[in-house]
Amino acid sequence: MTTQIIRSEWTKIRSVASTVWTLSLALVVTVALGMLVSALTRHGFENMREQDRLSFDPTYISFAGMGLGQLAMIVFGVLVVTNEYSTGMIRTSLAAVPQRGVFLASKVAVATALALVVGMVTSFLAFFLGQALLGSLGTSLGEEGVLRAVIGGGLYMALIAMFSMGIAAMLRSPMLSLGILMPFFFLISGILGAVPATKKFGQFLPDQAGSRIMQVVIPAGDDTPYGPWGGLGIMALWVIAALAGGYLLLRKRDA
Amino acid sequence: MSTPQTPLPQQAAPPSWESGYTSPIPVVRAHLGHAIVSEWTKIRSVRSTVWTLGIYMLIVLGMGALIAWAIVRVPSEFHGSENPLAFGFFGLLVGSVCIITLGVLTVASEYGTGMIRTTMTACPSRIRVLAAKAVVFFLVAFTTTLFSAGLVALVHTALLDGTGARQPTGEEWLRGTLGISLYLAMLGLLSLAVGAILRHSAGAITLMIGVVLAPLVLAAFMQVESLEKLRDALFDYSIPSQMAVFYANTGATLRDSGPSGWDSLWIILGMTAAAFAVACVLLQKRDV
Amino acid sequence: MIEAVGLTKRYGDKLAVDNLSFQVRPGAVTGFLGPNGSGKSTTMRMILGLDNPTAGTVTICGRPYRELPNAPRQVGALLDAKAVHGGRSARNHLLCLAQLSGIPARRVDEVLGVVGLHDVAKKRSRGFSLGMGQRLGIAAALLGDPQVLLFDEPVNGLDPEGILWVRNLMKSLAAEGRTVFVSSHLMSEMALTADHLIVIGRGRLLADMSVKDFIAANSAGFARVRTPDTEPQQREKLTSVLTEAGAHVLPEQDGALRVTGLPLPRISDLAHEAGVRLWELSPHQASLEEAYMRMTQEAVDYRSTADQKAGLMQPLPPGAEPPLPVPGQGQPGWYVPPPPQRDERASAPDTAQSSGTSGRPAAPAEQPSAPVAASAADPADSAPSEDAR
Repeated sequence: MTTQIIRSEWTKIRSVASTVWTLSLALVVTVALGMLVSALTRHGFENMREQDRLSFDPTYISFAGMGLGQLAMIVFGVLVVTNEYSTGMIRTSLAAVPQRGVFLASKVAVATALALVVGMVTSFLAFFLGQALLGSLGTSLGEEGVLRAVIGGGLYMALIAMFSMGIAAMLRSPMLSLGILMPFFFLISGILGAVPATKKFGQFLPDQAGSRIMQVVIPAGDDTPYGPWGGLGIMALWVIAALAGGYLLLRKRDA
Repeated sequence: MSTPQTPLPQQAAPPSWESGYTSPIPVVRAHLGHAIVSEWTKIRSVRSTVWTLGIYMLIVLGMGALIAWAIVRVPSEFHGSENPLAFGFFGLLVGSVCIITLGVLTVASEYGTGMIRTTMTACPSRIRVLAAKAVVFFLVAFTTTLFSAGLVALVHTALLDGTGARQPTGEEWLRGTLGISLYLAMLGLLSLAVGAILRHSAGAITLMIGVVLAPLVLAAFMQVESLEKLRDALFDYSIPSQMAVFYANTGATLRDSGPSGWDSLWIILGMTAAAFAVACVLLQKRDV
Repeated sequence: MIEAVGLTKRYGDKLAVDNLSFQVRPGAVTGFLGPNGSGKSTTMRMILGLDNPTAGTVTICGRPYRELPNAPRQVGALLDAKAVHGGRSARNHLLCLAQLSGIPARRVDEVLGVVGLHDVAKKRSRGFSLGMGQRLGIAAALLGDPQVLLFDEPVNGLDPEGILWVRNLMKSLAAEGRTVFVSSHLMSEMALTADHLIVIGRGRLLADMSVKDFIAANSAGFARVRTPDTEPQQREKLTSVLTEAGAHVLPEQDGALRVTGLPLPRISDLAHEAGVRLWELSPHQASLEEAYMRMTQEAVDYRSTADQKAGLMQPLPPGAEPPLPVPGQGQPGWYVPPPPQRDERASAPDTAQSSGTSGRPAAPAEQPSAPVAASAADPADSAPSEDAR
């Protein structure tokens, strides 16, 4: 039964144009921006200030595009869920799969698997191409923490997509979901994480905590109370909360 | 069968345009004024636009109130020589997402629902429809921003008055209320044009947020000195910094580079005009 | 008055509308018929200026739609009942359309009354049923009190009462002297509503004539002839005699013959001369639906295949046999008229070649119908069944 639902969700997801668009944008934007910044960095490394050289993190530099690339991942997560509602497909879907928990789980599982694959490809591609352009400044997967950061980059993208799916399942409207997620990730989280007064709270927000895993060199004076995996764990808790909220509302509501 | 008993005279008669029915309701020539009234009805009769505007005002006023509260609590932190209106910036920065969303939705939601076909049938002049949408949206966005930003500015200056902070000059008042309101309304118009080009709400909102953020994200990673010029340019000409220019102290710019005074407004005006030109060409050429 | 000249629309490499020319005249309901995907909606969209034709022009009252000074006052259209913003109330939806062309707001309440939606005028249209949505679309079309009206599948989703209402509405609109252009894929519906028909298939014009002429030209009647079942040689003899006389003879499943191209008395005479006894000689009139099916059959894009249920069938256990057809089905009936559905299929493609594909481009409505078909559909033949035994 479950395999059939998963197969059906796979058919749905690959036959929607927005899937291809958002995922390929996520990949292209992340990799291209990472390459651009890596190339520019190599070009001007000699002129870099001393303290900047000490905390220079070639891995993190190649993930420069992640900030914008996750935008597309958010849109992917939101549209995967809300497409069902905006087209009215949800009634057909829930008539075919009356167990709403199974329905949501299959949808999230399929979309996450896809996001994870694309995220991993993106992360490794961004890393290798970025390192190639960094040349002698670059690092390799063998260095300590680097493999963890690169795999973490893929996990981060998948988790961002999952979080968006959970929020979208709660809100049902694509515009409302994007209207909340985008400012949250791009302004509120950034402002809260940068302003000293709110930094204590801001660093526990999903993207702030999760992006920690992509850093290999910890900048001096950093006093974050969690490590790379701890940060990813915090992000995972957010994701679980969002999905649980989505499930509870889906179960309670009329479709 | 329902075939008429009498042969139809029209079938034999030579084609004449005037034959047939004439409506007793007087026919007026439709013009832009009609389209504007219609768009106003549209914008106020849908909950999502009303909600977006409400949230926008809530954000601007709410963040303004938060800062006002901070001023009252620790007034010593706030009385520098800085422009006292500048604290309104944060609310508008976050609120700009609402303006972008509203601008995109004004056009793209009609494509999403199919309403555009009904609209374009009722008004075959596509440019007129776009122009009416732009006018109505601009007025709504401008007045809402002017009201909320003005209110926040008044409250802040009143609260700071007793703390020894300097009073803003007339020029600063003009830029911090009228200028920033015009800028945000133009940013919304740019989003509206992008919505008309892409015809997809989520896509257009994403693109616009990318436009707002991409320069900052890029610049944040350019730590090398040789790129300083490029990095500074990206910073200075990013949309958030352009907004901040309206709160800069008169005469004293932090850096020599970057826009100052009313430059930001001319920049966004140029971008919006270009986007509208593209939107008009596409609108005329494409099938609805 | 709608006039299309050489209208062509190409999407990629698919030709949706192919060199279509027709006129829609005022004072009559003109039906626009064609199977799904035949280009009806595309044509409607081009009439309304939503799609730009690849070639050709279409004008309303002598002007392209997009150059009309106040389009909604001259043309009202129902294209797609779903083309509304679901978050807006019915009244506000109509109000913004009215304001777009300077129509006074009280007209909105009038049309809401006409379509029977005044009780739900304040409700958001998202919650409307299919039929209510259709009524809202019709209200929008009537809003400008226009002289030209276009309806794309107006009876979709309406209940029988609603269908009757639409039918009468269109007739009364036409009776007021307006031009009414209604598309449908249902011949049976058009037969009751329209005065004039424009039939297209795969984007090409198949027929442009009055309903009366269409019936005469296309619903070719046939004679059912049965010879004694006990003497098959009589049947062969009659077949050859009739064929020699110019008739088209097709054997039917139950042993009878389907004869077209000869009037009934002539068949009787020929049988008598040949010394063949007849057990049955009866006139049959093909329905308009049948005629339309025959005409458009070769122009159907989306044809259904038999439901094989292959994916659902359990594999047969070894040794089991597939179920046999129920005995008795499809057996020749004794003197009972044949079941109408079964035997059409045998003859349909054949007849379509003779009458359907001739494709009269913009044929004048008064043109006499094709001689063969006309003689078969001669009123004399439609007389009550006579037994020429």
